[in-house]
This record gives sequence, structure tokens and C-alpha cells, in this order.
Amino acid sequence: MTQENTGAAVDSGGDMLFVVARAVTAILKYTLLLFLAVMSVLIIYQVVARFIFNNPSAYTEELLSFLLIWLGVLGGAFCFMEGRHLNLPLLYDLVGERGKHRLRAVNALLTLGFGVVMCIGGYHSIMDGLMTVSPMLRLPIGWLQSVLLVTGGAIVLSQVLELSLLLREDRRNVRSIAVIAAGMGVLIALVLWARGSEAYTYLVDEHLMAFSMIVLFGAFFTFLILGTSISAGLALAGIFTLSLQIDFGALSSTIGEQIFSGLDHFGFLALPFFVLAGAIMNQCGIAHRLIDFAMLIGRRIPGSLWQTNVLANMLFGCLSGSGIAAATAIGNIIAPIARENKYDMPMTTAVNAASAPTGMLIPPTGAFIVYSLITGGSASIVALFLAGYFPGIVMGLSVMVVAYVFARRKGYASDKSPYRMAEVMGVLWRAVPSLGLVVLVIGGIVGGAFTATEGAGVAVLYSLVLAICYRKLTLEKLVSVGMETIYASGVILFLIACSGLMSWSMTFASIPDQIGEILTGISDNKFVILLLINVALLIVGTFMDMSPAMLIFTPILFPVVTELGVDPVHFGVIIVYNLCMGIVTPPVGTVLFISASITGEKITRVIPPLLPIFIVQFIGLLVVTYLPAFSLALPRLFGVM
Amino acid sequence: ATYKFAVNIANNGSTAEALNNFAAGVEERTEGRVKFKFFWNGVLGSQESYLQQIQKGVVDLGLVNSATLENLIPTFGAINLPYVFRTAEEYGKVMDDPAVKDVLFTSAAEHRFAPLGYLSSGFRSLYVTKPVEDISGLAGLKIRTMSSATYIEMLRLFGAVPTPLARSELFAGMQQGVVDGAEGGLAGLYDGKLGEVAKWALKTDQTRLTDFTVTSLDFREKLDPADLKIVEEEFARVSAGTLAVADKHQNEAAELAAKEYGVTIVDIDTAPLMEAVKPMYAEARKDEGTRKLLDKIFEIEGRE
Ligand code: NA
Ligand code: NA
Repeated sequence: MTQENTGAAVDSGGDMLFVVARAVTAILKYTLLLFLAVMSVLIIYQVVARFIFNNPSAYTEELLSFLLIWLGVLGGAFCFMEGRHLNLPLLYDLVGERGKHRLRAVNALLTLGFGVVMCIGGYHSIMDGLMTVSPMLRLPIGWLQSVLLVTGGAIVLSQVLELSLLLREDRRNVRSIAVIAAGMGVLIALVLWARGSEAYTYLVDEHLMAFSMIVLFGAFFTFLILGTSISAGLALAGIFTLSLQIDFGALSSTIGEQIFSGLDHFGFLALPFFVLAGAIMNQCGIAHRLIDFAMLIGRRIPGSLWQTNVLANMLFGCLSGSGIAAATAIGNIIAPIARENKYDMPMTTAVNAASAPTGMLIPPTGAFIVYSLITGGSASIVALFLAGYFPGIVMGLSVMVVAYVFARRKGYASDKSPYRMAEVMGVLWRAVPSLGLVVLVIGGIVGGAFTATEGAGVAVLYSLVLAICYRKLTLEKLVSVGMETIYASGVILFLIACSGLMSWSMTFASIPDQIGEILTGISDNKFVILLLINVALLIVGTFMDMSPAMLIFTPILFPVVTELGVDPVHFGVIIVYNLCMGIVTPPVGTVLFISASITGEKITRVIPPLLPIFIVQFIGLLVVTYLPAFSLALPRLFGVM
Repeated sequence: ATYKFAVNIANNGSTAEALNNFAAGVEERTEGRVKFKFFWNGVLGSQESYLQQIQKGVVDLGLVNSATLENLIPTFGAINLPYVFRTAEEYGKVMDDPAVKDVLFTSAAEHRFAPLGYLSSGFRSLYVTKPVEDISGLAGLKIRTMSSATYIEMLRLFGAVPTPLARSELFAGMQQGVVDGAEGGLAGLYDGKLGEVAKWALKTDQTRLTDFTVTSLDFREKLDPADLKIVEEEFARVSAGTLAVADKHQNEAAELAAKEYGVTIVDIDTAPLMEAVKPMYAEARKDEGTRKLLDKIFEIEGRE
């Protein structure tokens, strides 16, 4: 899901539509940047108010919660304008030029339909929510939900734009679009007609769960294969499933409210802040400093550059929660050195790709924040953070072991030069301020100085101060860092919102109960079930990114495993470890593709050296799965669970 | 038919027991014509969220507390005020009073939902990680509370520092010192293992958060009148039961926490606390509807 939607490019100007679109995009951009700035100030203020003045503010907390929802939903609209949402490009890659156009038309029309439903839902939510006020600021919820109407409008605009782009590219697309639209119209008419039939009533009355399950997964996988953006696909699948039980009138506003409340968790605030802190840090040139530091530790081991790459990715992971960021930042520096020193380049690519996701296990990491909130807080963020350290290190060590064996076989020399005091101190001096963030933020969260969300705010403040000290931050760079954060949070937060709608519709149709029964029908042995789940997730991970996979499958699997007595924290570590492997496996392996594009290697040449790494990492997964203490020892030691 | 019942608590504890008891009673007496499918643990969303769905008739029933309802209908704020009920007897008398019921239920109908009745979950008190003997000991303590203007103001008047924190982060938060304690039912000390970190249970008994079971208007229309009557009777039966059980459960759990985790139960003098929150009554009286309800409540309780 690396490929960006072949979405609306807003630069081919000219007629009215493009002028409007460009204006809307600009307004969205500056609004979002303003939100991000205000949110950063508020979270820092909140930490100061609590920590220094011992006077926490409930008002900023509520304001921040609403700003986050707005950032996520509006950011989602912005990413539609910019064609940034994740999708599965498999079919796109298989068909010719005409086929691509037709797929784009299908997806534009589907997304357009979603936008229209959101507009209607947004309008109803405003009307319904005018009476209810928020607990602290006493703001009418209806005003706050007006963002849904705005977002629906922007989605519609973005897809109208996409359709008109298609027409510009090839006049023959008029017919394709007309035919596809007519086809969809006929389908909808057929469904509406079928709703009156006895067979339909029988299915809904007697086999609601099974029928819902078929509609939900059928629709979702159809959209996935068509290459619809995953967020819109999730929402549409949810809408179809709900429509089995709810009339259209109530349906549209329910949809709006579920998308809105999907993001209504204070904890999700940590996501954009940790992304922002990571982006600022990266701007300060931490990658170089970390690599020098890692080189110092790993240079005596044969194939030292590979060891350095893994260590640097793990250190990077201590500062950021993004496998992509690590693979890009570290890989770009290591690759030229590796080529110069005649390292095996497919192996170099594999090492970078397989070790980059460790940062999604080693805290801070958004994956655990999302997991904690999907499970309704059964697993606390602090406990999950601590539980991630050892498994993250194991994932990295697996790569180091294979790289070591490989280097020994190939007879790679190691750097035997003695350590010189001045050199060591110089490298430490350069790396320590960045690594100080780990001590401050994770130490602060574990030590109780602040919550995970506030910790993210502290990370932003710290990295800003560091960037200013290093004189690396111009206003221009600050804006580009802000945009990076907005794109990343727009995609993930909107995905969370849409998956909130889908999982609500799943719950509403009791689908998790049904799947749970099927799973426990196969076996009631905890270890067998966990093995089954691991295998299933590894398969899911090959074609799906971590966030959508986690958002879709956690609500289904979590009740099953907790019923069997698996600890919620432990299960979170299993899921994240498993899906970390998934972001490296083709056909959809974001981190692998990035690593390969850095070194210029063909994926087919990278797979052979990746296989042994996967095998060792899989053994690591089994250790993580069957030795709960491995994950739970640290959180227990610190008494946070 | 089976009706969807949204609940944001786990399927254990006294409230869950009452709900299961209600569902079993209804199913038996309607010979299976009316069944409930519970969605525990807030899987259908927060109370605010599923209340919206109940108003639309998407969800049929839900458990919604008086603090959530206050955000929709300010009049409900009267029963959320601290020390508006000083004893369980006062609480029972007020909540079963036809005039009080009338005020609360009429205002609900205007907002397109119908209360079926209430479940009492006992008094809420304070538990802290530091020794506290009287109101002065609360000064400056960071106390976790829900996001409710009433609760935050109350804690502020107690001299504490009200601190909003997700319920799920409470255990770790007290362990690490992010907060010094929390406001809630003392049963949580044992049921939720919070006694492992909060070693002092202060019997402040400041509020009773009432859990209303509300239904959609569609639900009342869909049901056969005879079945609806059974539903109402069964609910009244379990509702009456909770009044006696709730406080007993709170006390028993607190004593278990004392035995199991070494929690000290402090019988704190509540008179200074009652005095401290007096300004809240004056503030509440500024709203016409709340003032009338408050006067009615005080009349029933025979207090000034
Ligand atoms: Na990380
Ligand atoms: Na993959």
C-alpha cells in the first residue's frame, strides 16, 4: 500500500473547478497547520500547568480532544485532495492504461458516494447534536460535528476533480464513467428492489450474522482489490453492513457520528505529536549521529556495517515510531557506504528493511497507542510501551545474527582499529542529546511525571529546543515538518475514524462473537488458537499495512484471546510483532519497497537473503507468543500492570 | 425479538448482575417474545455516543448515567450535586417520588428517548495513595475524576486538584504518582484491584451517580403493550433491589480490599465537605428547571 492513490493533482489549472479545488486545498493546508501549531502549544501548556503549577486544566484537555478529531477528519479530506490515502495497488499494476482509467473511475465514483453520504450524515449530526453540550467547554456537539459536512464536501470535490482529470487525459473516458455510473446505479436499484423480496427478509431475520459477515468482508475485499483507498473501503463496507439493519435516514447520521466518535479518545493525541517530534528530530540530522554511535558499538563484528544499520534502526526506533522513517533516514546513509565497501547489496537492502520496523515495537510507538485505545484501555499504554522493549530488541537481534553468519561465510573483515578516547567522546557528545529524549520522555512516562500523551508533547518541545540549538530550523523547514506530520496523521487518523465505523458495524451485527465461536470451535487450547492467529496475521500482513490490519483484526480477535486468558498487554505485543514482519513482506511491504528503492535493488533479488531473516524472526515471534514473561517482565518490574 | 442493549461497563459487579437479572425475568415472563442482547464494555461506544443512537432508534436500550444526561438535559444536574443525598434512604425516597420522576421523564421525552428506570450503584467516595484524615489532608492532592464540570468543581472546593485522566490509565497513574487518588465507588478498590496502590479509602460518600436505563421511543412502540408492562415491572423489581444491594456491595468490597491489600478505611468527618460545596447549590439554582427540582428534592428530604 505504498503507492499513492492516482488521485487528484491540483496543478493542471485553468477552469473554475481547478481554481476552486486549489483554493480549498490551500485553505485546508493552512487550517491544518494552524491546528497543529495550536495543539502543540496547548499540550505543552498542559504539561507545564500540571507539572510546574500543579494545576491541570480540564479545558485544554477537552479542546485538544476536539482539535484532534478535526485534525484527523479534515486531514483525511486534505489527503483525498492530495491523493495521499493508502490503497492496495495490486490490480492497478496488472492492467493496461485503459484498465487503469476504468479502475480510477470506479474508485472515484465509490469515494464520491462515500463523500455524499458523509455530507448528509454531517448535516443530520449537526441538527441532532445542537442540544447536547460538551462536558467542560459546554460547546454544542452539533457544531463540533459540522466538520463532517465540511469533510464530506471536500471528498466530493476531490473526486469530481479526479473524474474531470480522467476526462482531460482521454475523452473516451466519458463513456467509461457513464457506463460505470450506470452500472452502479443498476446495482443499487437491484439491491433496493431485492430488499422487498421474501428471500432478503428471510436472510436478515434468520441469518443476520452470517449475512452481515458476507456483506462486510465481501464488500471490503472487493474494494481492496479494486484499489479503493482503504479508509473509504472500510467505511463503505461498514455502511453496507449497517444498511441491512438500519433505514437510510438514521443510517447516514449514525455513520457521521461513528466516524466522529472513532477519534474521540484523548490518547490518540499522542500519535501526531510523536510523529511531529520524530520529524523535527530527523530534520536535526539525528540519523548521522545515531549511525556514528551505532558504528562505535558494532564495528568489531564481521559485517560491521550491517550491524551498524540494525543498531541505528533500533536507536532511531527509540525516538520515532515509524518504520518507514527509519528505513529512509538510516538506509540513505548506509547504502552508499555499503556500495563503496563492496557489501552484498541485496543483503544490505534486506538488513535495512527487516530491522526498520523494530521502532514500532520499541517505544515510543503509535502502534501500541492505537492498540490500547481499540481495546478500550484494557492494556495501558505505559505497560505496552515497557513490554515492547525486549521483543523489539529480539526482532533486531534476529537480523544481526543472520547478518553475522552471512558476513562470516563471505569472509567480511571487521574494523579492528583501537578505540580512541577522543573519538569515542566526540561520537557520544554528538549522540547523547538526541538519546536524551529517550530518558526524558520514556523515563518521564514510566516514572509518572506525565501521561503518554503529555510525553508526546514533551518530545515535541525537546526536539524543538534541540533543533533550535543545532540551528537546523528555519520557518520553511518548520512548515515542511508540519506538512509531513499532517500527511501522516491525516492518513492514519482518518483510517482510524473509518475503521471505527466499520468495527461498530461489525459489533452491531455481532460478527466478532461469530468469528470467536468459529475460532474456539476449532480448538479451546490457548496455544493452538494463538498459533492459528499468528499464521492468519502473517498472511494478512503480506497484503495489508500494519494500521489497517490492526484496526480491523484487533476488535475481532481481542475478545477471543482474553476469554482464553491471554493478557491484553501480551496480545498487543504479539499482534504488533507479527504485523511488523508484515510491513516487510511483499506483495505489500512498504518498508521493503523503500529500502529497495534506496539501494536500487530488485525485490526478487532481496527475497533470498530476507528468507533466513524471516525464519529467525518467526522463531522470535514464537518466543514472544509462548513466553508471556518475555514481554511482561518489564511492565511488572515497574509495577504498571 | 431480540433488542440491542448498550452498556459501557463489564459483565460483572452489582449493576451487571441487576441487568442480567432483568433480562432473564423479561425473557421468562414474555415467553421469549422479548429478549435482550447486551453489548458490554462499551463496544458500541461511549454513553454519549450510544445515547445518540438510542435517540434515533438505532440502538434499543442503553445504560446512561446522570452525568451524561446532564450534558443533554441540564435539569439532571440537580441529582449530580454532591451531598444532595446524605443517606441511601434519602436517595431512595427522592428517586421513587412521582413528582421527581415526572420532571426527569418528561424532559427525556422532549429529547426523543424514554427512561425505563434507574439502578443505584451506591455512594461514590475518594481513595488516595497518601494518608488523609480530614478535609485539610486533601489540599493539593491530585484526584482523578471524569470530565464533568460538576465533579471538577466539587473536588476543587474540597481543596484537591481535579485531574482528568483516562480510567484505563488510573492504576498506572496512581502507581507512578501522576495522580494521588481518584473519586469513585470504593468497590473499585477490590473489584478493580486499585487497592494495590490506593491504600486509604475515605468514606466521603459525596455523590450517587445514578445509572438510568433508557430506551428508544421506537422500542416502546414496537412492543406489545402487555409485554411493555412486563418490561417495566421487571425493571422496577431489579431497580428496587439495587438500592439495598449497591451500598452493601460497596462496603463489602471495601472490606475485602482492606483484608486483601491492607487498605485503611477512613471514616472521615463529612460536615466540612458538605459546607465546602454549598456554593454549588447557589450556582445550580440559577437554572430555572434545576432550581425547581432541587427545591422539590429538599422538600422530600425535609432540609433547608
Ligand atoms: Na519507537
Ligand atoms: Na506485507
